[in-house]
Amino acid sequence: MLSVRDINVFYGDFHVLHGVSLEVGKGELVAVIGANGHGKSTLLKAVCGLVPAADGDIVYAGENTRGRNAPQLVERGLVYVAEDRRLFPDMTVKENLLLGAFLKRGRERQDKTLAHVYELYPRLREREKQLARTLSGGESQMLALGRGLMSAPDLIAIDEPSLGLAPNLVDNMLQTIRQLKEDGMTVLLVEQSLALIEGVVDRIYMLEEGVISEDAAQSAKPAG
Amino acid sequence: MQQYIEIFIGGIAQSAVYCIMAFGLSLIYGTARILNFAHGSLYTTGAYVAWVLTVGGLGLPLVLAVPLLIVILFTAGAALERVVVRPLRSLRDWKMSTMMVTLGLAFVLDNANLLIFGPVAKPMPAFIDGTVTIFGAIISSYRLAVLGIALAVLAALEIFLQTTRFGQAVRAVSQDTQGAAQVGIDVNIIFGFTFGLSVVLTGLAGFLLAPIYLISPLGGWVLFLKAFVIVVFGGLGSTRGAVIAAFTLGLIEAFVVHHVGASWTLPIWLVTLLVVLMIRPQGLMGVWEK
Repeated sequence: MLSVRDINVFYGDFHVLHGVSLEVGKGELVAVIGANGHGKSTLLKAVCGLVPAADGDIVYAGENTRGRNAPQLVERGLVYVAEDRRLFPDMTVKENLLLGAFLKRGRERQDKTLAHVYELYPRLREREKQLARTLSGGESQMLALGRGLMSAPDLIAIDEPSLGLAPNLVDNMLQTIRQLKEDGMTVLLVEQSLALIEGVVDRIYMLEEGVISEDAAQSAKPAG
Repeated sequence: MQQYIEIFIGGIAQSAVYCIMAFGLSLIYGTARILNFAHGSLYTTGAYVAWVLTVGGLGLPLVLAVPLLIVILFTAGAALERVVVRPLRSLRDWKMSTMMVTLGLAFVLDNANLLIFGPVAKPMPAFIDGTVTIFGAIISSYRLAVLGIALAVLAALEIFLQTTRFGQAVRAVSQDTQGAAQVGIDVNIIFGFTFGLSVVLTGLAGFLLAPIYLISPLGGWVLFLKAFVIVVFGGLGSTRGAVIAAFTLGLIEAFVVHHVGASWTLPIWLVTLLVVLMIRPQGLMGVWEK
């Protein structure tokens, strides 16, 4: 479904990703782990067209998509959910969700997906008229993921969903992500801590100082 | 009493035009985070283009001249974003660079206008003559028409931003540019569009105020300064704040002009601004840049 081969990404003179490659099969739940500042977010953003990759190939759904921008990739079903939520603070919860269905792809299934998101997170329905800036950390994360789902992704790239969440909320979040996989969605997840996602994901990559390696031992474990 | 009605209506008519101009300045700051120093020169240029289209050259009737003016201004604004601003955005210090470039553009436009149209101010006849009597106060019909047009433009902008899909996209970009890109909004198109719209608004303000102030090559700077004070007063990037600020300051101006003298307008505006900023550093409705 997604095949990243040898990409290099720079921020100005700073070389962030060094020849990174990874594979995500259809219906898989794959995680990339690594410490802060080692390029995990950059990797997801490069895959989703939010930062340019200098070279290498990013093949998504059979097409080389390196150089395509985020709107083109969203229309093809590749959606990024940011670690820092990136909500529209002065719009209501519902307006935020509906903007997730901005493009034709999401808009065509808007009502069905909205019902699904509200089913997943009844809290968002309760707060649908509230401004996004008034939400708690946990609710913001729900809205960020909900807005991503509104784009009707085939592959959803989720950047550190546990960031800033209380431990019990993290469990809920991981269960939801697991549920997305059960529903047939492909998920590429980024997290800092191995302990958090052990047993939840299918395969794990480690990213250290911009260099990636597959963690064979972890990958061999059956997914829980 | 009649005198105060005159001052009040004159004041809100003036405010409404300031408001259109400030709205444009705020719109660009809000979406693209660019302070456009050429806003005043574009105001003047818009007035000159309107003059050429109507009394100064082509002699077109207003029904033709106004749509044509809007198309020309929008195209110029969108082109400005595409050709001048967008290439700078990939630079590390793009905010400072674009600000300097818009300042340079202001001087280019001012001098071009000076060369083409000469140093003598051009008169622009009001497109509506006569006066109207309201509660015994005599008001120029033109000022009333300006008020009506400006309010209609503001209402249209508000409806556009709040209810249309494209307007929502503009608001989304102004609230979180990366978030907007994530949901599939083409941020560059929105930037180009807001530049176009902003130039239409400032040029239209130039056209509306031309019969009152005449058109002169450097006439836009005072208006730019006023629009800037309005935008800071209202809160950078908040178009609603700009609306409230424009009417507050416009009314203050009307009373100052009548009681103290026109040259006191800007000093009193700036003192008002200082007081507001001491109490609310982010302006009336502004949010801090994160």
